[in-house]
Amino acid sequence: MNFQYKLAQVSIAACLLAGAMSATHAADEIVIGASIPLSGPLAGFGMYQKWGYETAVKDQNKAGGILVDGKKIPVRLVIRDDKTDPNVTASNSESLLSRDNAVALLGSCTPALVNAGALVAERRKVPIVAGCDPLGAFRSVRKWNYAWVMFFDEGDLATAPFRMMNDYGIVTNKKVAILADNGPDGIVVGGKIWPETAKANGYSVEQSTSFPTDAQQFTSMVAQAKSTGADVVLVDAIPPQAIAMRKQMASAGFSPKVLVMEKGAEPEFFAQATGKLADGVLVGGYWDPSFPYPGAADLAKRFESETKQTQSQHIADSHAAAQVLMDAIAAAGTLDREKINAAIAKTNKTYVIGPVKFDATNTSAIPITLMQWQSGKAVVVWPKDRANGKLLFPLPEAK
Amino acid sequence: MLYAEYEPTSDPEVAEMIRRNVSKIVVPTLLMALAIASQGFSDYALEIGFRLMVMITLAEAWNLLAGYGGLVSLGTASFVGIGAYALTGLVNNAHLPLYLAIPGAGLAAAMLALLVSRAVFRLRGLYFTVGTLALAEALRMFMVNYDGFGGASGLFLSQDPPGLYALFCIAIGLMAVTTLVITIATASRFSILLRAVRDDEDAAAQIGVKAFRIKLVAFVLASFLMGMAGALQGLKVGTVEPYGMFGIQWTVSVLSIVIIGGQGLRLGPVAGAFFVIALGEVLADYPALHLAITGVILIVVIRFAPKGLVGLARDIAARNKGEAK
Repeated sequence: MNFQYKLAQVSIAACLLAGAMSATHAADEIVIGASIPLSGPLAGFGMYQKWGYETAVKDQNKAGGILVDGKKIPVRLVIRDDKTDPNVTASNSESLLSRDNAVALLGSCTPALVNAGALVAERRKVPIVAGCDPLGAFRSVRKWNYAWVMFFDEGDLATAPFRMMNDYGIVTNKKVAILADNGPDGIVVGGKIWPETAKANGYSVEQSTSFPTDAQQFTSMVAQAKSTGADVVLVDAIPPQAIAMRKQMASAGFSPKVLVMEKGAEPEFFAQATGKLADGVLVGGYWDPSFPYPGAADLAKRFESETKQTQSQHIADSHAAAQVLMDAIAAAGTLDREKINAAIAKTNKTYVIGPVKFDATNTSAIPITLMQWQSGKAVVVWPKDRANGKLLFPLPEAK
Repeated sequence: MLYAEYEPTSDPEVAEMIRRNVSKIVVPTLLMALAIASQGFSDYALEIGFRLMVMITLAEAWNLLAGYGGLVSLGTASFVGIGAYALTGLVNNAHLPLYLAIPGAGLAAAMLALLVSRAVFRLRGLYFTVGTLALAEALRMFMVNYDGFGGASGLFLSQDPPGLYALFCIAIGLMAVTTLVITIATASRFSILLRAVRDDEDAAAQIGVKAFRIKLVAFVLASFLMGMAGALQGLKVGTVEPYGMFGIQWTVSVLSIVIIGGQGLRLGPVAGAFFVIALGEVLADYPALHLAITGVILIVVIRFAPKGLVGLARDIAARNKGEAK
């Protein structure tokens, strides 16, 4: 018998052995799994999610854990890096369920990653709660039974700049230029809702350009936008692209009166990377520590003191997602996944993110706000009743 | 030099090699036994087993190209992606059952190989490598920008993916096909011709070897297997999108597996896949460390064990045998 044949036998024997071994389930802890982007293009979001999930679990454990079958059991959160790759999200989700015996899952961020994990959860009949997936993109996939998302709706987000301009009576030349990536939400927001809303509000769409989500060169489309003379520029791009575009706009000497940069202008590193150029840039938001929700101000303070970084709204949706799940486990009083899922469906409570109540599509909408970067800080400027700062208009010219 | 192992090519030795390799037909039988035994496997074992078999298939296919044929391709992701998209299309639109859709996806990848072969085979050595990388990137960009296949959002499988056990059994089927194809390809006259082309294409042509045809067969066979592996991955995830399915990570993973296991060796991809996946699982909770350690291992293997782990083990075994005599 030759060496290679022996090695083949050993390999198959190893596989059989691995199969025979089944992971033991520790009854003295409740395992919750989360696959989030800690590396890759979306690592900026994953870092906030990690903190939000971990903090919620830490707080729950400080209170002794979750009451299950009459006994308080601590929660163990297992986090895996999905490397911003849906294939990895899917395999991580499988491993979290099979290797770590997670009773339920917490979601990743953006439609591609959340959906990949949710499809695994759906197939395995395991509840998953996520907070970083626009609702339209989530609903469009299928009828969900075990996946739950609380986030903003793309329609609400996309119409916000026009509602803000109407509310504040902002005077522009009513010309709009739209530059949106061809990702799931870019197509919906930039390709559909923005042009429709612009026309419905009496604006003329002078340019509507779509680009790949990993594009780096925007000079020609920026030059085209400048040549249209549009006062309102609406951009939908992820952070690296939004940063590059903002800089290329400044280089081209293009300064519209209103500049909205959805997605990309949201994390703090947008402001750090663009410096003064961030001033006046608007971005849709859904949370601020000043909002009157339980624990909102405290959560932001804790994040900033622990990490020495400026807070992001993603700490709130991830914290709330973990709380919703843990509350459902407590309400079910058991680790039976069906019962936990049924308890999630009955959620009706105000969390740090605001009121959460799921509808028939397994979604709970968070009302949108508009934030504006002002001297390195994101200030809520719309709607008026939630604003904690004054709108900077027009966009300051780049020097 | 990426390929490492030269196996004997004289006729009596070839006959011996074929005789020895016939025994490897036993492997599919063992895989069948694995399928039966796997009914008692935990979900975790099924998940790891599935991942292992998909990666072994990809690595075996790449090894046929690079290890035996000297065609160091960086286009693995193209064929994985095409396979995944083709499966989704065949299931969603043509409503084909999986036992037809999966080979159909393999055929789609083989068709792509056939289509681009004239262009990429005009290139040799490093130029071929860069050409295949360009092909993968061009395809990815096309899929991102072309709305007909769902653009950047991708497509969703219209039916729920099968359960883990069913997926595991399908993966065993894929492994059986792969083992059969690679065994035939590496233990026949074709293998001699392929290695002759690898060693010196011009010299091989001088003695009557139709180099283009030989390379084409290897390329199409490898692409067929890669397409089926991609189809299985698409089936498991239930959704396909260009960034994940056409991502460079497929190419890098497969290359690491074969180099660590042993390029040009029959069991190199198997050993490499076991090693890389086991390492990934052990370091699953330390993602940064995982990448760094894999990189260091790759460097160490290339430097100190150019024939990979299998080559190293075989050398040690031969040395011990010599000492014992």
